[in-house]
Amino acid sequence: METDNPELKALKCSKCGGGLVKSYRSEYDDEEEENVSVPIGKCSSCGQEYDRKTEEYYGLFADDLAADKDNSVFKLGVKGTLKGVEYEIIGRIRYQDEDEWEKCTWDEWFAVASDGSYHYFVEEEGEIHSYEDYTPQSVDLESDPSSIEFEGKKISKDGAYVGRIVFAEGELPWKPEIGEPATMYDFKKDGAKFTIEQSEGEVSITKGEKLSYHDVVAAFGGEEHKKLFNETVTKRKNYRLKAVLYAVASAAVLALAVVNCLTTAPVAGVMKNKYDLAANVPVSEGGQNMYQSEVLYGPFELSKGDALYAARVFVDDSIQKMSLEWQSFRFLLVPEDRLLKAVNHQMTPAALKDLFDEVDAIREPVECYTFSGDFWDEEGTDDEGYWHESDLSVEDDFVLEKAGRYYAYLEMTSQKPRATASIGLELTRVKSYRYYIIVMVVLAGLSFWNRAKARTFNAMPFDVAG
Amino acid sequence: MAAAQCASCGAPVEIKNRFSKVLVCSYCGTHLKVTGDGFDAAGRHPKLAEFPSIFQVGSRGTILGKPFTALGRMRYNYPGGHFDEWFLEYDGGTAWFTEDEGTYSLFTEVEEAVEFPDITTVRAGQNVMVGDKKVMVKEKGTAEVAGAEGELSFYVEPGTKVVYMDGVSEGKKIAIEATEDEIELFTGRPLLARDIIKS
Repeated sequence: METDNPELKALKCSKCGGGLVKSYRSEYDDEEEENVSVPIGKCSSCGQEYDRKTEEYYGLFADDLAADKDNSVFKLGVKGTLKGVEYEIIGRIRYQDEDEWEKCTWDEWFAVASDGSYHYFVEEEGEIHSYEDYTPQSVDLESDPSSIEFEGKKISKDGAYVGRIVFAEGELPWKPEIGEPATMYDFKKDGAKFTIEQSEGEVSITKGEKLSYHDVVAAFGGEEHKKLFNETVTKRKNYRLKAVLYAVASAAVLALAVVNCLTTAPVAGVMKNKYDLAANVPVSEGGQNMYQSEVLYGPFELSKGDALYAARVFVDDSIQKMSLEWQSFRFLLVPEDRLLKAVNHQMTPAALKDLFDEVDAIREPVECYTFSGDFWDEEGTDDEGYWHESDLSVEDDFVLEKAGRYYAYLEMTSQKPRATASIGLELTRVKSYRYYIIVMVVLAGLSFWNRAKARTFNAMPFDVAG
Repeated sequence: MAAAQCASCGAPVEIKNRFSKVLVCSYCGTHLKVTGDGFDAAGRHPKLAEFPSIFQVGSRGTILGKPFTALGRMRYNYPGGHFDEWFLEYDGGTAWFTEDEGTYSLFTEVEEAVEFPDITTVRAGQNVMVGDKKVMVKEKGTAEVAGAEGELSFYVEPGTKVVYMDGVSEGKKIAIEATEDEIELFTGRPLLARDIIKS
């Protein structure tokens, strides 16, 4: 029984008898959240429209929805043995989900077992389930408008969907009509899958179990199918293995990055030698009186060139608390050789002060890295009442070009006089966790890609679920 | 019951079950009503067409481990095809065995459904009360008696229209058949092929 049987088609307008043609109209799509162009049937005479809720629609679009009907391991007349029972495929009905305007079909294959009993194989999106009739202890479809009672379990009717017949072939238990609707309820109970199928004249209750494609191909597939299926399984297995390996490698790299972060230690001796070049010297800027201090720390050893370091300048509350005031600073990292050259090897406080007072005017900069920041402590009131906030630490990263001995110069400007020792300085070699992160992301990406391929790789001419 | 002769063709016929009400002559197809005095010819009808069936008249074996003998069958035609109802001698009593669309059912309880709602309004999916039984109707349709063979426990003239309903109640299969004269309710269970062992 093929769909080109004229008996199965209703291609005349029920209103005027005119011919129906394929057409489109704009409809709002909830998933796409925009208007989309959906197919409809339309009477060429009176313009009457036939949408997915009408049998005419399926009469018109049935051939499109059955275009890939040969993409299956099952075929009429093919025999196979599953779990010791031999089946012969004798018929098929294809349904389309009424809610979907794009193709969303599944096939119910009818098989007769060697003992003469009927059996159903349902094939959808590469998955195959085996179904048999089931007689429940109790079932009530109608008493509650919102749910079905099934052996004491309530099944919500919200999960119902309507299947419309779009193709039929072979021997079937009843005479199907293209576009004929059946309401389906799929649910699980005690680990088993059940389907209640309700059409105008019949309710069927079936219990099913998922079949492995391996078993199905072994039973019903030809030699070429078996070969391609083995290839599919092998490739998927390889992709799965690679996905696991990449995931493990990615996790290992992440662990290394974490270990590196946790084992980072400050550079020793940065604040060991200190030169106070100036302490709370009154200055005026823009009519505001402030105090300026200058300190030089060093020399200290930065042992790794072409490496990432973090510099942190902070207020040491244990020396002097900051209270409702601000202080700005400028940090300069100066290589020892450049400093010595700039002061002609005269490391006297006066020579150093002169140098740093004019440091911005020197043609060849003495510093290899600099950054600035502010510390502040404030209070006030707003709608939520009193608040008190402060920021007492500034951090920045830099890449050190060359290893060697260095000095750190700090120039500090404050509202109130402040002890030079109240500002601390910390340099830390940051191990290159960023590179680890990049490698980790690449490995994780490869893992995801392989996992996707493990699910989707398919050498077969039809869908095989992952 | 002792052997006798067909009232129509004189062929030897024999009733094997004391509950049988009809015997179909295997030679000429005449339906012979069983009476106290012997057989009355009720009509002559064509023999049933040979469709594959799990049984034939005289088949023996066990169903669910209990012995059976297939005594006769009724065949019904409906728009979707046909189904057979086998009258069995089963475990010392009688039973009906249906074979429909490749599914098998055994009905061991048969009763007259005197309290039955208006059969014309019943539809698939509906719950109906039959006596004290709540039955969910799975299918309703109209069939026509196509014919019979062997011995049967009741007689229905071929061509008679029968409204049939299949349903479920309390984990059992329910079959209801209604003619103009009576409504009968069969209670039973589905069978798997392995439940039936022919000897």
